[in-house]
Amino acid sequence: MIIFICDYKIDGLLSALFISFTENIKPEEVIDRATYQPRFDALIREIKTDKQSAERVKKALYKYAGDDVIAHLKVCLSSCNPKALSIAFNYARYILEMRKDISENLSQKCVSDFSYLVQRVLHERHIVSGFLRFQESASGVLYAQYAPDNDITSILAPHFLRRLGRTPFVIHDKKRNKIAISDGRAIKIDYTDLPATFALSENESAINDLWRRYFKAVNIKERKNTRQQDGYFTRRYRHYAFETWE
Amino acid sequence: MLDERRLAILVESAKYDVSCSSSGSKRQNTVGGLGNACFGGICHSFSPDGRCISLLKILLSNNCIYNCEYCLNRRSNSIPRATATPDEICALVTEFYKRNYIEGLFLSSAVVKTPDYTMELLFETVKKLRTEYHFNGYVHLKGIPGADRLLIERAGFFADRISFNIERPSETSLKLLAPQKNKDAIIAPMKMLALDKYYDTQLKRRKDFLPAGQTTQMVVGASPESDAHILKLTEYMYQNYKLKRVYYSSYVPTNFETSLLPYEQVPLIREHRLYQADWLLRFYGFTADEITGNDGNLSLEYDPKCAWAIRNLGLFPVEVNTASPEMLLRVPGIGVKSAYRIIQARKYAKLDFADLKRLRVVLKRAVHFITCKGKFIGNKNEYDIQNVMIAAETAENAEQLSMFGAESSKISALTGEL
Ligand code: SF4
Repeated sequence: MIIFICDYKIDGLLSALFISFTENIKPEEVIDRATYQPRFDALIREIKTDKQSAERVKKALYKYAGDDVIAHLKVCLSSCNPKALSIAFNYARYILEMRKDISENLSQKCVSDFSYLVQRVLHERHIVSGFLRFQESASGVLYAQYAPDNDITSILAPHFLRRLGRTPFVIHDKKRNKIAISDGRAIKIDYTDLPATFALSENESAINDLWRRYFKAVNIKERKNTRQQDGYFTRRYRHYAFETWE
Repeated sequence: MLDERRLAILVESAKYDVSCSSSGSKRQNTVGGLGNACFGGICHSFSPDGRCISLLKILLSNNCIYNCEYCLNRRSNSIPRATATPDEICALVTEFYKRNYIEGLFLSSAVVKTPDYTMELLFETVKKLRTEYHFNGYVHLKGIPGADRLLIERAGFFADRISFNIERPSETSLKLLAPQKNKDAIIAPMKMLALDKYYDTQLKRRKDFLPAGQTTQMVVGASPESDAHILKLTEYMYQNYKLKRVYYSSYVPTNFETSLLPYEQVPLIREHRLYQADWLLRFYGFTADEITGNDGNLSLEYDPKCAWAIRNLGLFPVEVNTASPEMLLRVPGIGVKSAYRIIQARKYAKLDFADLKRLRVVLKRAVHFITCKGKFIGNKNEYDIQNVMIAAETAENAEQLSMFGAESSKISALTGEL
């Protein structure tokens, strides 16, 4: 059994694919170098990230599977599933083997696994794009914190850049200490901790109260259906939607 | 800024309008502007009644000159009254929007002074929102029946969606319960909004006018019309008024002083079945007659697609590897997504039951109506199938689902998708 160890990023994955093809090795698993625990039941192959070979694989993938393939692989890598790297690898390898777009051949396990993972990540991004809550700081910057299951900050932030336009904002993934900062024109991703508290704008608390009041008023008491509310608005996301707090 | 007291009054009076969707528009942000629209819509919260909160649903005023029996805002009802200014609404929308509480605004109003005066106020608000507040998020306006058509048309160039509510499923019920309204005042603007001049026929979409189209709503159970009657009317409106959606709201009694209205609330399951039937009309190629069969009402025990399939067992089982897309969509348990996955995957290889599981096709209901490579593993007895369908429903506790929701892993209460 052969295991590939590579960097958990797109070029690391592509470099692993390059070695897999040029040396005709089909690894059993592909594991992130940062989390790898020594194992004695397999042959380990350490893959160094190599820009040039990654570029060659990227070109081939674009040629066979179209413009979105790398973006989809990146989405898969942002999944919290511990097997995400292997799943992305197997999917991309299958494209290179078949030399065509195989994304709709869902009866193939490697395709359905990949598609499922991508859907899960995109689903979380969609959910969070509604449930995230911004607070306005005294300086006018909007600030939101959250702790998503998947590493979605980089794919979530552009959604808010488009809608908030010139208003600067910060999205803070507390779980990974990862932040997306928008200056109203572009987004920068950084890894850092932010101060726990900051001064809020003058009318922040009044707006919060209005929103809480709205949430209460719009509910139809005679049609109580908290089971459905719980189903669609799971507890872990409610943590950020302060209007639901008792 | 609007104060909490008026906010509560104006929302209280607006909340029975069931339309909550923020979908159907791709409006882009402008330089220096705030907001855009997401074509699929986004839910921002869920209230304890299980409904999605996507838009700030509010009235400009609840001070009505009319006296519709079924409505909280009727003139004769002694409730607190309030009015907001267009600027107050605009400020609230932008403050809520930038904090990501909402996708946009659903603005309605009681009839203040005259229909024209009210429509003018609604128009002024949406125009201000777009041109002074530079807001590009979603705006749904409720049209005021009887208002000048020019005013309605002008509003259509700023709003994403307009709805005129049909309110009651028949003219007789409307006359009885809302004597100051007449059917033509509701239908005429719906007809106007469906005119070809607003469409780019080549691109098959609306021009800059109402990108998310028009919708309507009717209350179910406050008057005696059957499901068959309601679905026939729905089908007619989809065909003739280019409606994006028909919403159904099961009747909640708010007026106990009249003998014209029932005192009992209508079970949510009836509304849920209508949403499911509506889905069959819009996406599955069913006609209203097929859905209701000879019965006047939809089965409350299982969904209308199951009911149709059980009435037509002679057409089944169908072979998943060769069935037409239209027929696949008629198989209970196979929805649009599953049918699409099957059609794509079967191009590569013949599918068996294990493949269907891998495609995440839910087989609980479907096994009784399909074969895979000629193999049938379901039950052929009509009575047994009925029991299986009822058991499947019970397991899903579908009766607890009502009109809204979002995710496809459950029967979608939002859409009625089957
Ligand atoms: S016109 Fe509208 S707001 Fe006024 S009473 Fe009738 S339904 Fe209610």
